[in-house]
Amino acid sequence: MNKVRLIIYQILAYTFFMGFIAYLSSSPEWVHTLPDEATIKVSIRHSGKIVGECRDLTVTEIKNLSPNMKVPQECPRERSPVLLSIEMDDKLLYESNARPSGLQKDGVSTFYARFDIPSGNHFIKAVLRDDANNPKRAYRLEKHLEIIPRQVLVIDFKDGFIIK
Amino acid sequence: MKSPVVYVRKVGKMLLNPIELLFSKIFTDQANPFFHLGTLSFFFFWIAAGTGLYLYVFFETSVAHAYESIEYLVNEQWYLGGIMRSLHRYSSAAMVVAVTLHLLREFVKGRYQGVRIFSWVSGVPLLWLLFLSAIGGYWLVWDQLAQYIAILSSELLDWLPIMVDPMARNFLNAEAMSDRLFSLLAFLHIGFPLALLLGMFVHIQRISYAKTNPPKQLAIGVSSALVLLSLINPAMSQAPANLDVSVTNVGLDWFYLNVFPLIELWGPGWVWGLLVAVSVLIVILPCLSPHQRKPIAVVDPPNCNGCSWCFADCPYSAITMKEHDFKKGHKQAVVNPDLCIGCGICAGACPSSTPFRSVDELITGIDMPDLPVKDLLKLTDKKAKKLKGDKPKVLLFGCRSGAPTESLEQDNVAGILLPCVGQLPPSFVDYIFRNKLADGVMVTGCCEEDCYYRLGNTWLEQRFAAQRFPHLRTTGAKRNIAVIWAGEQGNKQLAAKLDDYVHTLENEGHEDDLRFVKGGRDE
Ligand code: HEM
Ligand code: SF4
Ligand code: SF4
Repeated sequence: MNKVRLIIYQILAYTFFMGFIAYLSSSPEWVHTLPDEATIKVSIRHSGKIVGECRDLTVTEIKNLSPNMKVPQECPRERSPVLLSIEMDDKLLYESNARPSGLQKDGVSTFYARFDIPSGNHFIKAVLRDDANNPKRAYRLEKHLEIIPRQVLVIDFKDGFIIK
Repeated sequence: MKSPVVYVRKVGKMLLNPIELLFSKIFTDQANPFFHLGTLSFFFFWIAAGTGLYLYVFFETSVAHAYESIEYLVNEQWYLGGIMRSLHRYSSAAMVVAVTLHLLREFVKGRYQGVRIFSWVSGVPLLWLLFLSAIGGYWLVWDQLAQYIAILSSELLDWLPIMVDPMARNFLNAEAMSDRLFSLLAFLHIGFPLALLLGMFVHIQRISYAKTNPPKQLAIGVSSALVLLSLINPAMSQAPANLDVSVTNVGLDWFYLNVFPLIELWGPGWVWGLLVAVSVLIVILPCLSPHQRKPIAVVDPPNCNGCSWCFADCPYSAITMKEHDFKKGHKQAVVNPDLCIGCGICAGACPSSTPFRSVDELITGIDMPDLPVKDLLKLTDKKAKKLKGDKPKVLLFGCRSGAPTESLEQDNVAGILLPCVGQLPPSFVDYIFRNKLADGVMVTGCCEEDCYYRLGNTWLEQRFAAQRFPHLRTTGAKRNIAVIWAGEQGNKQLAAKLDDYVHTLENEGHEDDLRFVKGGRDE
């Protein structure tokens, strides 16, 4: 091939290279959420109730403890799993049973989830139960929400549900 | 039954070969980008590292000001900072393209087994580090894209049972995001590339004379292209991140951020599965492919004088020199069987391989059990005896990875195939001319810059051109030898060059003013 033709082909090759790099490094666009949708993030860390009762130690048991460790009671450390369920407009949105973290099962239970929902009016119901032995013990939330497009709504918990 | 890997490689070759041939035509073999994918990867890395340093000077490591500091470069300093930023992004993209093609090419060409396993397996962490480096970089811009990948990468990490507290909690909303985390990310964006660089040097440890710089022509070409691209189409940030507002559309870098849509489509568990599966598949690929280990080089101490020529030429540093077993004050070559790939380049280097020695049986200092030098000599004599006719007689030496030579055999042309032409001692050519076994000798092999054994064709040519030991000795050999690096696809070109060569020998005679003919398949 003659020199000029070669140079033209090289320029073509480099143009293809530039086009390829430029195009794929920013396109095609990816749609993460639709413009009229909003995001709900459930993010909760909560420790379940301790399972079991504390027990009074006998006198001899206390005697056997080392002097700096003397306590009158022995308490279990294991915590109950935490159950969380969230309904939106009477449809179940999220339900999870989070076990306590840690090898001794004495740590916190955590929840994280993300949902895209249509914006507009919604009715949200949430229940958190942190004592498996006592189903009656529950925290509840029932609320009308007016959600605008692209809003990020966080459902958190601290002594009760918090909506941010 | 053949392993499916063999078929995949075959199909790969069918796709790759025509493209490579086209690029050789356009760029010549010496500057064919497909022959320089590893060195190009290095080159793109250096561009990204250099421009990254510049960006770092102006970068503000805080949630509030990171975005602005990059916008400043792009808008107020477009002529330098803006170009640096674009170069940084585009060279990184070019790097992953080069690395991916490099990986695929080494696989398709069957260059990932034996000693090469070291390079192959050490390439896998490089892939991870490369992607981690790039993803970290996108994060720092703190625009909508960064917000998107922050949320999804934390969800990906949270799938692993390592942390009690979900990492995603850091990106719940604007309030949750901290500067401390941001500094950590900026730190990682230096740490990962440094680890990558270290890994890149480990990657080429087992290779002697590893090239890390592409040929000048290519270096100038690709860097000009990247600068031009940065001017025409500067890399831009997307709208600033705001964790209180959800991300809708993002312009994605599909080179590096391709896992993120997958996380959305499949969920993090399957994506981890895919990432691990692909990595493991690459690592075990050498074991899944059939591999015939070639016999390794063997040293014969009585015939080794300790010149170190083989040591200097071994493409995988498989040879070391030690005190000679019995020749006082001499050295002796030792082959490390784990590193030897069985190419025979050492046998071609050894001065004891010369057929002019007055010995009953030609035993050389370092030799290949599958084709010892004495058998190569017998084969040469036998093939030469068969040459007949009035046309100039030519012995054609080729290699198994280059253009097949059998199909070119005629009455006046005989082909001799070696594992690698680097195994051909130059003294053989002297021997052929001195004893008038043929009128001409043509040597062919892999394309320039693309020797299957890395250095066979380069060393052979340097030996013939008296730039490397051992040299050609006789005038006849120096003048009449023809070297055509035609490559496995260059059959037709080789046939044409052979015809030409026979013609010149016919017209000019082989005594006087012939030249050292050299060529490739580039026409
Ligand atoms: C950062 C990414 C990478 C860079 C910069 C790089 C660069 C290089 C360089 C410069 C060479 C030496 C070439 C020579 O002089 O012969 C090489 C060899 C090699 N690379 Fe890579 N590489 C990278 C990633 C990979 C990956 C991901 C793989 C595959 C998993 C891989 C597989 C190989 C193999 C098998 C060889 C040996 C070839 C031979 O011995 O003939 N590389 N690489
Ligand atoms: S055969 Fe090749 S790899 Fe083995 S020692 Fe000789 S030159 Fe080195
Ligand atoms: S080239 Fe031959 S003589 Fe020289 S060190 Fe190697 S084996 Fe010994």
